[in-house]
Amino acid sequence: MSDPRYAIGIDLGTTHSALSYVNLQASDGEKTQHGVLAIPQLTAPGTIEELPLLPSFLYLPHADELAPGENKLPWQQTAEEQTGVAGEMARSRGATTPIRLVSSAKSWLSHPGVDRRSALLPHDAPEEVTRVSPLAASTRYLSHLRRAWDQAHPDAPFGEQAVTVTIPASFDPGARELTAEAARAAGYTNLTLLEEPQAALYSWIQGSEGRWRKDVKPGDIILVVDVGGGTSDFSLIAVLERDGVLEPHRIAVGDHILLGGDNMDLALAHLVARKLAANGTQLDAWQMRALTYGCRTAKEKLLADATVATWPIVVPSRGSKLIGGSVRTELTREEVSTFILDGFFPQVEASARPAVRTRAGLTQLGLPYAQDAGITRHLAAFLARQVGATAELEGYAGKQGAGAANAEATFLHPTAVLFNGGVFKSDLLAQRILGAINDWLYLEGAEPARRLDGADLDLAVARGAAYYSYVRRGTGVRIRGGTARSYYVAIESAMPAIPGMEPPIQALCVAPFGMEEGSEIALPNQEFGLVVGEPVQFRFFGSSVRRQDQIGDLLDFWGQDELIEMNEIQANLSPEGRQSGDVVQVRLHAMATESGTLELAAVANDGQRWKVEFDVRTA
Amino acid sequence: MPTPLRVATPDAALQLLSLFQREARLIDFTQENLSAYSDADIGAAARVVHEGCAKVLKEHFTIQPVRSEAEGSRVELPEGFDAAAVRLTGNVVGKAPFRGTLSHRGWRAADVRLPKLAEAHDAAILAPAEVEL
Repeated sequence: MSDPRYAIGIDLGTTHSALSYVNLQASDGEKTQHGVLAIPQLTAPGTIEELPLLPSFLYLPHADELAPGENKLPWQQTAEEQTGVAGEMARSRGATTPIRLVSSAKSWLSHPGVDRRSALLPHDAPEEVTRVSPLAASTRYLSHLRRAWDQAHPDAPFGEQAVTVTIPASFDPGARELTAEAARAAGYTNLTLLEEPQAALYSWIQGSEGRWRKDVKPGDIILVVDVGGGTSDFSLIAVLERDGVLEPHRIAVGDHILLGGDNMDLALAHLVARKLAANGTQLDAWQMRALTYGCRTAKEKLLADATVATWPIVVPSRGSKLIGGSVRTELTREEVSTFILDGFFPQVEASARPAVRTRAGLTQLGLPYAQDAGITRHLAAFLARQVGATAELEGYAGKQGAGAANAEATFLHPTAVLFNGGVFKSDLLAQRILGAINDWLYLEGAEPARRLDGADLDLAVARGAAYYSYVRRGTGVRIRGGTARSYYVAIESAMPAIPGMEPPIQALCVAPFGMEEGSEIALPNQEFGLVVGEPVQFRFFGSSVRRQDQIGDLLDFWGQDELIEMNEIQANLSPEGRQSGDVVQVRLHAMATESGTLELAAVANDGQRWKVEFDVRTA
Repeated sequence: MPTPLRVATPDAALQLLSLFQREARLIDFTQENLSAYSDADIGAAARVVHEGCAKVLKEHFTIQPVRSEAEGSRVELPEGFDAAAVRLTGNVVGKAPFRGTLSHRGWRAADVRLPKLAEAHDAAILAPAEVEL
């Protein structure tokens, strides 16, 4: 294969996807020539427009719904591709026919409670709609982007370029693996995965054209707050100095929080709809969507300009009588403040924690949305959990945070904050979060954190991903860090059974924190006897705080929040060359692959390997 | 011999109408009889039209002023100025350079980005009828 000419970055978002690129031949050091691909997509039947973002929606039209040829794209589509429409038209059509709309495929892809390879979307579609799996939907978006690239660059085929796809930092190994699988199915060959908050920081570094070295200093701890359409994602990045060179290290990532800007707009829309309903006006689904858009605009205006007290919202009539048929209403500053600021960005103490409601007996097959809408509470919990994140970091020993030598700190003290995600187009919301953090810092005697400016909120992730593809090839700064969690399998303790009690378990560390990509470690002194042909399940745990555990460490006790149980993992020894029913002694190996996924393998003494699956199909 | 004239193709015009209808409900708006409604109702609808038209113009055209000077300021037009881009009004006598007051900056479409249409697409349907099942 010839050398890539472009470094491509793809932001596969919950609500929008984008593709950015760096021209490798025209770039040198921190001076890059880069761009964003205009993505041809249907915006209405038979109408193709090139837009910088591809809405991550897939519409599955009825056979009679579109006139022949009206769903054609500028490239040759396979029969399967023709069964669905991705992009802007999918989003607008789906508003009137939601039973045929696949949305939030990415959230489903990271939903551990469902079989993500099974055709289950749209989740409330009637029988006759041929559903698709979260994996297949993600594949569609990725393949649409690949086709768009190939059409625009016939001389530099996608398959020959270096490609980075972004994922939330909070994605577990299973969701990472599935994203890589979707990309492979979409024809991606040279693939690397990158965490979105890191991509945002890369974009900021790229945008500063070298000035970032003045804006950050060794000892800084950068908090990246990324609130997208559907998810909130936090990461901490420490700035180290090695041999006179600044080296950012990603030291911690947050949990997966399904809470984003769309929830805010929807919450406002429901508030306004209730007001209208009180006056006898009922809105249908189509009008609700128009109202949601109206609320987003009103929210941004009201939050941006303190002199505006109310902002009018007009929901157009469904029929052709626009005048008289339209519903006029308004949103007031007070409503936005109460709902958005106090609801999603409450001013809380550093000791605040998100409320966890115990789930009802029957868990519905739906997305596990965050149960507490307070983003600041989630943030407080994250910083507190990571209070020891720098304890073993070179140059940070003995101090929490950068400057303040404060052993009493109850949370990790960030010194700088980078915001990302469309939500922060309302600058007030960024200020609100920064204000909360600085209040917490002040109470612990630390310097206020400063804000890193200049990120492009919509495209930073795609841009940063392209830049990462570029710096991976040897030039420019790279964020270090390795895997952001340590992983464990449960081992039953050899203790006498006590009636009525589950046998206690021990946690065996099978992959330590911070494994660098390309590394592989074997589990010492621990062999498992696995039966050929019989799948074995292990309970599987991850920890975002236990940095010191080494592979092979066996834990008897751990703090309540230290280990989070994930989906079971499964080793299935296919009987290649062996007798079914034989017992084979295997050791577990952990690998951090070059492409950014984690792999576990069972390796027999003779070297034969079997992959341990993170994503176990539920029967 | 008659001077040949260019005939504008209807497709682009129909397409633009369709965009104005889709985003701004312009056809709905202009087809209604205003006398039946109060100014408040018309005002509410006008917001939809205004916001939508602005969106169409922003997304599909790059519109820039022809002259960058502030309106009301004195400008000088050298010899050979582009008479299509600047219209002289009032006391139009003498010869270039002309000095006068800028009364309107003018608008120029620096770029047009109309959607592409499928071969079979019937542009005459400005908005399809909608039937809810």
